[in-house]
Amino acid sequence: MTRSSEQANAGGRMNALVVEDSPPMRKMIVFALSRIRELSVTEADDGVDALRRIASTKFDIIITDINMPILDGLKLVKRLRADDAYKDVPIIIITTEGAEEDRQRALALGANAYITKPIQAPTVIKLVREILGMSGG
Amino acid sequence: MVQPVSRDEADSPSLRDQTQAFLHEFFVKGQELIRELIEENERLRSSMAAADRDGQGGPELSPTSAEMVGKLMRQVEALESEVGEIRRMAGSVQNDAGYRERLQSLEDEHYNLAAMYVASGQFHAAITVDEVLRTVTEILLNFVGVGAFTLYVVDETHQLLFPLWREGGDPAERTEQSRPSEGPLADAIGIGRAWRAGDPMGAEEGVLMHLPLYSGTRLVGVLRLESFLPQKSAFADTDFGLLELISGHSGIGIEMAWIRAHAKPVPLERQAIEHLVGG
Repeated sequence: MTRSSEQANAGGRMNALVVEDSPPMRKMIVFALSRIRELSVTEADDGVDALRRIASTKFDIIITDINMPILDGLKLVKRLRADDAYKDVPIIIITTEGAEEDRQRALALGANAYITKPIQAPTVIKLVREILGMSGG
Repeated sequence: MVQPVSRDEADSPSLRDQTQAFLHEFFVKGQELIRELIEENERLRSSMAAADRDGQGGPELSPTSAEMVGKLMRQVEALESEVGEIRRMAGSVQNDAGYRERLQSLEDEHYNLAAMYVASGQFHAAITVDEVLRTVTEILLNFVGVGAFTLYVVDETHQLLFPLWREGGDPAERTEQSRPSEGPLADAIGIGRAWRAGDPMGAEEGVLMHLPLYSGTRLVGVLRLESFLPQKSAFADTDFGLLELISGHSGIGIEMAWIRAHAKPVPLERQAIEHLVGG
């Protein structure tokens, strides 16, 4: 039994953090994830905002864009992997099709998976469910 | 040890006397209780021994109880059968291709409506030309999947379309152009209002679509959509709603930002506002 299914069985919700500076993109990802009843979703505008939220809440999965002001997604992944509390927490990065180099760097830094823009909500849901070991539906 | 209470002491009760009387009574009642418990224990032991001798480990169900249990068992069996039937029906519905297609179609519609909702919210929140341009870019890139486009704005004084913003290149590389009277661009802007699905697309070599940007009947600009992102090859049905939204809202957004940029700040006043609503 995975940690997520144990938590779901215990009636607890898992915490997801969406880090994206584009408001429409962020809202669409949050909207997609809101379809997963076992998830509670928090939004962050950029990497710095993400670190602020991480300081007060333990997240079970993080979905982050790469290109963001102040602290970008690559730096955020690096910071998270250096933190004992987040070294094993799944991280999904959001990339554009042409940004192969960024994608490879993020995966090398420890990101678990990536989604490509334009995002398809069912793809996001499927990937998050798979990574968290949740059953479908 | 409890001391008996003497007559003399009882006649003149002190606190000590009262305490002793209470303790005495307490112990007497305790002894009675223990005796009753021992008797009850003996009685129960005898009953159990008798039951063991008769080969019965527990109490026998009365005829009424047995009937009730039987009735409940039958109800449980009926409910289990009903659950099985519902599961079988649900399984056959889920395996039905029509059901899956319909579900997929509803899901697509659901996400498309969400995208429209998010996009329109962004347009309403945009109060500067820069914010309108950013919203157009985010919607085209992230929701529609257009990777390169140029936004032309109308110069009404000179009757020109000039490139203001370009995604996937420098706008300076695009030249300004006079408003054409014929050709794909003329067809696209000739509709005289915001674009709707079914209207001319104004496609030509190197251009997927010319999307006119109207505020009411005033032409504000034109979006020249040049290429899709690599993973996309054609417009999907769900894209047309977003294109309609961009055509209407970005035109209004640019016009409003223009007016706002040139308006004299005036304090909100009750009389003036009531006058606006006919009061």
